[in-house]
Amino acid sequence: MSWIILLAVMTGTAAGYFVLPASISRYSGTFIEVGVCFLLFWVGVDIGGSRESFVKIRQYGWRIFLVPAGMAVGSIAATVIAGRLLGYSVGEAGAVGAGLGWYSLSGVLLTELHSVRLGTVAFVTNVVRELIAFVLIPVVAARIGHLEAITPGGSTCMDTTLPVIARSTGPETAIIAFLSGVLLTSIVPVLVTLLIKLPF
Amino acid sequence: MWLCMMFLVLGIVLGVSGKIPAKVAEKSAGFQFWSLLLILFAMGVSIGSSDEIIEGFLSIGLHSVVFAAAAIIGSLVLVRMLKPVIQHKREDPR
Repeated sequence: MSWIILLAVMTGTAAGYFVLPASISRYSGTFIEVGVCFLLFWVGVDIGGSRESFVKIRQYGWRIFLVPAGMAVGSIAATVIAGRLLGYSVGEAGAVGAGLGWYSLSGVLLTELHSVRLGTVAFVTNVVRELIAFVLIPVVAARIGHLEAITPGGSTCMDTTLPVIARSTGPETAIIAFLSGVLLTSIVPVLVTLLIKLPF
Repeated sequence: MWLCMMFLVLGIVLGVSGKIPAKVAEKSAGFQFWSLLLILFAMGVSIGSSDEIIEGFLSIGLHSVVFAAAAIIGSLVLVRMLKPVIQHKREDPR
């Protein structure tokens, strides 16, 4: 699965760079949105048809919130450590990690609140995170665990990476992924804004 | 992307209600696979045709790859550590 995903993205990138004229490639965003709608409808049909998943999810109770909390804290802590090694301040590196895969928003926010350079770092970092997530999710699901397979996508596990998670794991994990993605998406703007204001 | 969320919810509602004929629902995995490949191709096209991403990647690519890898590893390790607590089964009071 990972190889097919990588091949599809790389073929698309090469086509976008070398072959397709701008008059066609500018519609790729619309195409993606329509495609994701179609795809998520069928993911929903699978989830809805698996009633036992809802019963299992209820057994988790409040502990289910530890999944998005762990993803947010883990991302920020690790990017702060990596950022210190690369010469970034705690606030700068933490804010890049707090994008949690939502590249458009974190890029725009940090460009406005800090600098074009840090905005670009956040933008590209979170694009790369989503791409790595697509390839890594099936591998993590098979070799490490289903719950862990949610983590690479960050906030994207409620939309773009959700179908890969659903396919690699199952309806139960897909529901946890969706809930985690919604929660993470809602806190990205708050976290990025707070972290970039840190004076150290 | 909120429109897409509505399609997901619509799918869940129709899935729960059982209104999707079994013959169509069986094809769900196939629909998902092929549409996913098309979407990934289109994402690639977006990346390849965006000067912002290509130039950004060429100038700060290494930092971005390190940050992205760190964020993924940090998320994965922490959720892995929390897993025993997250999956702790509630004791049946009876």
